[in-house]
Amino acid sequence: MQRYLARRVLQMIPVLLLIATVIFVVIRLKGDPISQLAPVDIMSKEEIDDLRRAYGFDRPITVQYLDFIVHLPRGDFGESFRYRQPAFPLVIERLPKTMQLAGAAVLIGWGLALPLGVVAALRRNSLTDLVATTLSVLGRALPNFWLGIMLILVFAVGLAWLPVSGSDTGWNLLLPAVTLGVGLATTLTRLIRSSMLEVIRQDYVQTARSKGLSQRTVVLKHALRNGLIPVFTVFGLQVAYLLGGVIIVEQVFAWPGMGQLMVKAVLTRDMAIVQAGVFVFAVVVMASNLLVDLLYTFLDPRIRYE
Amino acid sequence: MRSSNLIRAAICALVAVLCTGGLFPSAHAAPAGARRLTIALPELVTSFDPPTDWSIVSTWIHSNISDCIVWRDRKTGRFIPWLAEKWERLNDTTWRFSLRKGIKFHNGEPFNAAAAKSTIDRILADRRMITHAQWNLFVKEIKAIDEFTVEVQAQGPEPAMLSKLAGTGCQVTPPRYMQEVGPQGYASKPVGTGPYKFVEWRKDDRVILQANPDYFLGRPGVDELVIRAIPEASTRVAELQRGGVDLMISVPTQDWQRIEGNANLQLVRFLTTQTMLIGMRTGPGWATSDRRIRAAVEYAIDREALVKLAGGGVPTRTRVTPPTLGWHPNLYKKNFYNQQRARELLREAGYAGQPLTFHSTTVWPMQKEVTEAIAGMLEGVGFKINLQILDISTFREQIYFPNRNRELYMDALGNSFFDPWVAVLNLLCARSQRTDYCRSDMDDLIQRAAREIVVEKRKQYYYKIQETAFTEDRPFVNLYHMMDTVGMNKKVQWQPAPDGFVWLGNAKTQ
Repeated sequence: MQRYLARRVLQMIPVLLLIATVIFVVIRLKGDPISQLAPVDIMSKEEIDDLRRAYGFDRPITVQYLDFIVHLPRGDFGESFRYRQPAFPLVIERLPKTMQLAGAAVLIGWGLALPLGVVAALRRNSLTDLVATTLSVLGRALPNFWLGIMLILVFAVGLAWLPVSGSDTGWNLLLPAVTLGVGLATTLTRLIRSSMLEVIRQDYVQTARSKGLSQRTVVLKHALRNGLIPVFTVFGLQVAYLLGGVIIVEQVFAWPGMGQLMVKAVLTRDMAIVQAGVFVFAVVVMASNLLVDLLYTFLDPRIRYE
Repeated sequence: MRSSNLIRAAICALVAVLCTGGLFPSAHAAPAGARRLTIALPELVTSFDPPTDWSIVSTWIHSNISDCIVWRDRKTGRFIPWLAEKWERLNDTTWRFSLRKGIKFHNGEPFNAAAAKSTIDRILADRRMITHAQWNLFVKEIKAIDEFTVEVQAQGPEPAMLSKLAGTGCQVTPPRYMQEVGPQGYASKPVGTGPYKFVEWRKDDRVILQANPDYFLGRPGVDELVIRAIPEASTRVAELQRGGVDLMISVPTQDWQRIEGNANLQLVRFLTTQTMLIGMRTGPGWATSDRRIRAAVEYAIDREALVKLAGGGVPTRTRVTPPTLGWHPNLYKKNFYNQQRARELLREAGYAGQPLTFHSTTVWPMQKEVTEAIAGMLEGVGFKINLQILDISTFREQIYFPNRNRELYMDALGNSFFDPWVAVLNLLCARSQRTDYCRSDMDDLIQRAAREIVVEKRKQYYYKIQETAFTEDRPFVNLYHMMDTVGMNKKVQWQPAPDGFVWLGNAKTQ
């Protein structure tokens, strides 16, 4: 297992290097960052050039790239134009808030999807199945942005049950987490349903039933555990979408995480922040996928990593 | 793991996540009965060091913590004594400022000539200060004559000296504290002379300030000022309705009724310093290079209709708007709409129906609707319009900053300096990347106006510039002086400034 882990971690290095290179290139294709640093409309060409020199943008692109790659292992993505501080710590200090929101959304997503998916599969073609399937299609069709605003209008403004925005208390987490969690739940519900439908027809489930085990034991201990393996595979891939959703949801609910920072950085071409942020997101996605792979061994003891 | 254990673990995890979100109030809590004012802005500062962060929102926040040596009465446009109690112009380039005595920074450090000098010296010495370029252009030197007198020498004759000294990055910082904590330290924990003292900064969440009881203009009528960052406008409106915030700037037009229909809230409309305008290519090879075509564009547009659509404003043919010096009474509150004349001009110019690309975005209130209305008006007189309404990011990245705009583009430009030199800068040859407009006599006129010390003469120069540029050459067709709104809880007593500047030293709340 340790060798497997070490190999997976080592495999991440070239992937991260590739991601870093793509970020470096793409962000420079977006235009001249100097235009965001100062009011270029009232600056002369000489002053703009001075500023460009001060930030090292006058150097050949290959030199800038090598400089970027050399500093990468130390987490040095350069200085944020807007904050005048190293970018990496600015991103990292917001990471816990984003992870908190994503974590709550994952719990809500699974909390909704697991019972809905299982019940829909066990009562196939029943009214419950119809409702669960319809809800999952409907939920998938709702954009995060719209759902977030609707939840605010109903639960925060109309009923005044929950706070509108911010991150003062734990209650502030509920609406943004539900907004994100619903999206995740819709995907998982359909997957759990179809996976369970397949598994409950398997011989070993029939055997468990014929042994006289209760329906609960058959479903939870024998069927669900195996049925979850493909669901976890997709869930690992969904983490990237979830983080994409976090960016939007943080904007709507004024949640002070990485999403807000990234949106502003993209709009103002704050290169260092964008580079650091995308890199951190990439690490989180890769780590989640590794974690999912490790979860397989828990779900199916026959799976061994050497 | 048994299923019941799994459920228990999930519940525990959810509770843990909620708890780490902070079910308990933050470390800072205002004393009971404190008069708290919470305002919502789309973003917060990125630094509390004024010359390093030039966004308008940051300037508002800096100004509530620190003061400048002169300030502008934003209703009349006149300069008023602030940290300097009086000033005099010694000659065309040098101004002497007598500073107020007895003012202290929030940390007890005295405000004096050394503080004023070190603030400006610091900007002049560091190219990476965002305001360096602007200040370096006009300030040659600042001298401390005695403990409470400074002399500022400009690079040349500088009629807009006071305007610039009251502009972005002008807030005075305490030299001793700055030396102790360094610029990085100051950027996260500022000390000023302003109406509010810094208490706490939760990045991208809120800034908490406390009233300065020793403020030289008197203690503010608010004990604690909380400035929250809420990027989404509809969320700001929801917070205002719910009572989570007491004040917000720029209520979206579609939400005005919601605010006005709420018994606890009020909507205050005010004229900004911004003008919505259309820029046009005047250089060869463009359909709009013919003056008659550009004139036809202006004749085709019904400014009154646009103002109605935008929800308010004043039709204007000039960008120099009241109370800025030199605003032209013959060009302000004017419509100039004449479809028949527009058609005649198109015929005279031999316009053969070549499409005009019109770039616009959706960043300003009702901009999309206004753009579509203009496109309709232009097509109504015979223009063929290729309308491209882009999101703000695409507009900036692909059109605006790389100057890839084609025949027509829409923009809104402000003038928080309240001085006409800002409003005519883009008529200079060196700044005409988006219009190709270049006239040496116009350059000469603009340079003379920028150096003219005699106010009446300066005004006449600006009249001439506006007449030539906006009624004859028309690289720009100015549309309307824009209006903005503030949504407020009725318990708040505060009058927004004409340029929307959020200075809350004079605000009161219950």
